[in-house]
Amino acid sequence: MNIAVVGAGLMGRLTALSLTRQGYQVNLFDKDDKQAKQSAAYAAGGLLTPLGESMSCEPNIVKMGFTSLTMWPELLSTLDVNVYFQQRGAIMVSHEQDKGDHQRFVQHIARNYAQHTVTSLNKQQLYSLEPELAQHFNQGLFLPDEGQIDNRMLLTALQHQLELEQVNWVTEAEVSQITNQTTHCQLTVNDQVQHFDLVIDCRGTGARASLDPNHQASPLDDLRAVRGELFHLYAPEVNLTRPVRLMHPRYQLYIAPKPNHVYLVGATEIESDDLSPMTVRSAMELLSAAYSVHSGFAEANIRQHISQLRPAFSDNQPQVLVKQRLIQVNGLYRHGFLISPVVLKQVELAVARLDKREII
Amino acid sequence: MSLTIYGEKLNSRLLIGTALYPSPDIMKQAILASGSQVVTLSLKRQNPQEQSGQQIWQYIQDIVKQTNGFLLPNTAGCKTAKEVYTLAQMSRELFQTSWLKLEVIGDDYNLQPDPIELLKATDMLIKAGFNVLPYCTDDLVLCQRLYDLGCEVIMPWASPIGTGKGLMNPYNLETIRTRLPNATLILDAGIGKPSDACLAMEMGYDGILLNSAVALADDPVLMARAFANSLNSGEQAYRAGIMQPRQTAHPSTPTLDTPFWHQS
Repeated sequence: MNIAVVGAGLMGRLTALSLTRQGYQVNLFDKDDKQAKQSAAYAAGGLLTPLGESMSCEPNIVKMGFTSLTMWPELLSTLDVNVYFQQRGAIMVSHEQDKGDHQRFVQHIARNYAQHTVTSLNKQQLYSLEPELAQHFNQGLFLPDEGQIDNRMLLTALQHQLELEQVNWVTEAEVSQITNQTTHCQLTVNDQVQHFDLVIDCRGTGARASLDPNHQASPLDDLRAVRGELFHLYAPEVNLTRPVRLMHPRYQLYIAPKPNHVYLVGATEIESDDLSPMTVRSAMELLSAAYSVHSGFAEANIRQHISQLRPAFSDNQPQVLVKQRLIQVNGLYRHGFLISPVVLKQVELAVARLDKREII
Repeated sequence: MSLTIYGEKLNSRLLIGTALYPSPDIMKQAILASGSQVVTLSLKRQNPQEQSGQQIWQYIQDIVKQTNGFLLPNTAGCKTAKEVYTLAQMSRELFQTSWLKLEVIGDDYNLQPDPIELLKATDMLIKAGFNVLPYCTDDLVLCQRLYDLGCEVIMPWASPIGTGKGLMNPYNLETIRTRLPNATLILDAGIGKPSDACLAMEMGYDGILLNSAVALADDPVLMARAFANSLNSGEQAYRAGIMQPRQTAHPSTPTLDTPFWHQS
């Protein structure tokens, strides 16, 4: 089968690599160059924290998150380049005035995820795990199974691997139309029509661009963008080793430590498809939250401020939609890295099913 | 039974917000389960000049249509009358409604309304033809001033937004009810549980506006139903006339033949 994967973000890269390894002829198309700077995955925080997310997502996402955590190490071991992956737990802290939110989280876990361990930490226990957090907080929660991955390192490693395994990767390829038929799928790339046995569209919010204006109802009509903003800070005075989540009445704020004193601080969540740079309000909220966790952030350098759009369906659930010769993978929302290994498995299954039908 | 807001008759006395739900779909189910016909919506953070929130706004408008109800855009995030005025004009143009939930925040931490800017903004907006539903503190004089400016609906808080602390000052709320018998009073913000809402309805409040109490419940849809029930209970109780508490026990069953021998 001659397969086109459209969109070289996280899902596109994983899909292209996996299908190449299964012996398919894979062509990867993306409007960007190979750095994926326009992708949601490039902007992401790379947190693998299913319980941390659990208050605002349905139980199946949490389950997929835990399954994915077991799949990442194996997946990473097949890459030539080393990717920073950590599973040493995450810490949750809250300020005195937000104790209600802390309590709500504890109750939520006890009620819905009693099988998972969550440990309450006093100041001393907090000190033994993350000494610098104990300067500002007298208590916290430890979620021992949570982890994180360096999202950009992974995108680069996947790029390297796809090149190594000689996947045909067409950059600066604008896909303006996808026409799905019973026997093949037609792709309009930079105004040229190409035919494939199967097209897998992994473009996230970008997938809306090739909806035919006269089309009949499409499942992607329901796709929306949720704006997120985050900072990359270089903070040599801060020594945190695990992802830290700050209970906050308005946002789910996290600080994700990456190698070499780089900290990702995010993320806002705004129902908007506005891609313009971060607003002052968001900047103040994110930075004051980070500063309230660790005063060492005062002298940090702001390396990047990022705003990007997360693709989401109205139920905030990911979907792998199969119709004739087109598979649409979308709606991973704020959970791309958290659940992509499981979603990839679903894509692999869908392809296998289609392939068998062709053999028959 | 029904509630009238600026001439529109509504079957439900619950007004509901659209933030903080786990997903738009759950929000939709919760709103439908609540029976509410007035749905609030914020636009400040969605870059309204560019209409960047179009998709979620459309989604919310579709829900409102399904309830045969009304959209109530708010000015959440505004801090001055001037800021409110610009946003209000944009909101009226975008949503084709002159209804406006007026929020002018004076304090960042507890999101307490700024009474001075609120009066200024109300005055400007009413002159510009808006139907203003002002969110205010539970201060009698402030509510009177808002009423005098021409607000048919006044929305004092129960407690700060999102705290779920319920009715912090029942005395103030009761006073406002007694002294402004002709105003439509909607208790806005701070409701935590259905009994809070019920209490306000028993006081004779005309309606309740809430968001977090439903959106942050473990099961928002079930909680929306619970609130619908509690509002009905409270409203019926108010109309039925609540008995006055008494100091001494009065048996509800005649006890003439009950012997008293066991009370030594």
